[in-house]
Amino acid sequence: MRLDDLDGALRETLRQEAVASAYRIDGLEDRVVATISGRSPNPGAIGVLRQLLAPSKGGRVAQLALVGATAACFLFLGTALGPRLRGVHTPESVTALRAALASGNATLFVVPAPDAESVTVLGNFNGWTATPLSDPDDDGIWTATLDLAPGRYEYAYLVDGRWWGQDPLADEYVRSFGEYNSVRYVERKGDDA
Amino acid sequence: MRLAGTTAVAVLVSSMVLGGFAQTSQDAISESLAALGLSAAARVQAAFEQGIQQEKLTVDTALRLVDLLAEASGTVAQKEALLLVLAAALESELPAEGLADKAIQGLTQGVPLLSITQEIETRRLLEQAVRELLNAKGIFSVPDGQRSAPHHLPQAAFDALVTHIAGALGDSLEAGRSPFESQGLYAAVSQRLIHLSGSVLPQQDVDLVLQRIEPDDLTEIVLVALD
Repeated sequence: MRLDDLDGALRETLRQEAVASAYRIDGLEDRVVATISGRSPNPGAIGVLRQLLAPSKGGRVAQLALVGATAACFLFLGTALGPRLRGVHTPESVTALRAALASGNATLFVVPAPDAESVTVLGNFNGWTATPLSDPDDDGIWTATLDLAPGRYEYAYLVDGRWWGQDPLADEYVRSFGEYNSVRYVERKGDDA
Repeated sequence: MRLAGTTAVAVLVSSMVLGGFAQTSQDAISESLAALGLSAAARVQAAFEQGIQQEKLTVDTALRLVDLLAEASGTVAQKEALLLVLAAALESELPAEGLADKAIQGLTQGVPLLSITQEIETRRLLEQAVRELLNAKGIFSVPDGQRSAPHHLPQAAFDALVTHIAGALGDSLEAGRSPFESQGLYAAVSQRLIHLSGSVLPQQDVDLVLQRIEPDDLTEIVLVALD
C-alpha cells in the first residue's frame, strides 16, 4: 500500500470498526458476565477480568466503569470521526464518481469542503493558474469540469488558499517541492477508465 | 479554377495569420525576457525560439514562465540561472516542456529560485541520461514520417518517452527513493509508461522500451545524472 493511501485507509478502517462494533455495547454487561461465569476458573488475564466482573460491590463499580469506558470510547469515535467521515468520499461514492468520469466526455474535479469560501484547482493543464470550482447548491461539495486531452495531469487544489494535493479521485500522488500533488491519467474518449 | 483560387487565398491568409501570431508570441517572449534584464538574454531568447520551432517547448509555457519569473522574488542572477538550465536543455534538443512546467509549479508555490533551479537541473540531466540510454538500447528518433523500423521513433514520440521516463525517475528521487532501488525505479517508470500506453504513447513504443531497459540500467543513469 502506498504511504499516501494510509491515512484514508486508517480512517475507513476506524469507521468500519466503530460501526461494526457498536452492537456490542448492547447487553455487554450481561453477556460478559454470562460468558465468564460459564467458564472454569482460569488464572492470568481471564482471572483478572473475572475478579473485575465479580458480583461484589467493588467489582460492580469496576464493571460499570468498564462498560462506561467502552461506551465512551465508541461515543468519542462517533462524535470525533463522524463529521470528518461525512466530508470524505466513501469508497462507494468514489466508485460512482469514477463511473461518471468514465462515461462522460470531461474530467471532473470534486472537493468536499463544507466550510470553504473558495476552492480552485491548478495544475499542468492550466499553467498552474487557479481555475475556480463552484458550489451552487451550497452543500459543501465543490466541483469543476474541464475538457482535458489524453495525458498525464499533475494538479492540486487550493482550499481557502491552502495547498491540498491528495485528491481521493487521483490515480496517484507525487511529492513536489515538499508538497503532495495529485495525478490523473486521462485516456482517449471511449477507453476504459 | 475558382475553387483552387479560393483555397490558395485561404492558405495564404491562414499562413499570414498564423505567422503573425507566432511572431507576436515570440515578440512577447522577447519583451518579457528583456524586462528581466538578463546578461544572457540573447542566448536564452535564441534557445527558446529554437525550442518552440522544434516543438520542445510551447509558447504559452514559455510566456507563463517568464512572466512568473518577472514577479518572483530573487536576484537577476538567480532568474538567469534558472532560464539557462532550460536554454541548455533546448540547445541540446531535449524536450523542455516538462522542465518548464516544473519550474512554473515551483514559482506558483513560492519555492526559492535556487531550489527550483537545482530540481530542474537534475531533471535536465536525467532527460539527457535517458536519451543516451535509449540510444544505447538501439532506440532512436527519426524525422517525422521517416519511420522505417519499430525502434526508429518519430521525434515527438521519442521526446514523450524521454519526458515521461525522466519524469518518473525525477519524481521517485524527489519522493526520497534511493538511486540504488533499481526495482523501485523500474516499477515507477513502467507504471507511468503503461498508464500512458495507447493514449499518449503508442503501445508498441512502450513495449519496446520495457523489453530493452533493465532495472539496473535505471540505477546507472540516475547515478550518472546525480554525479
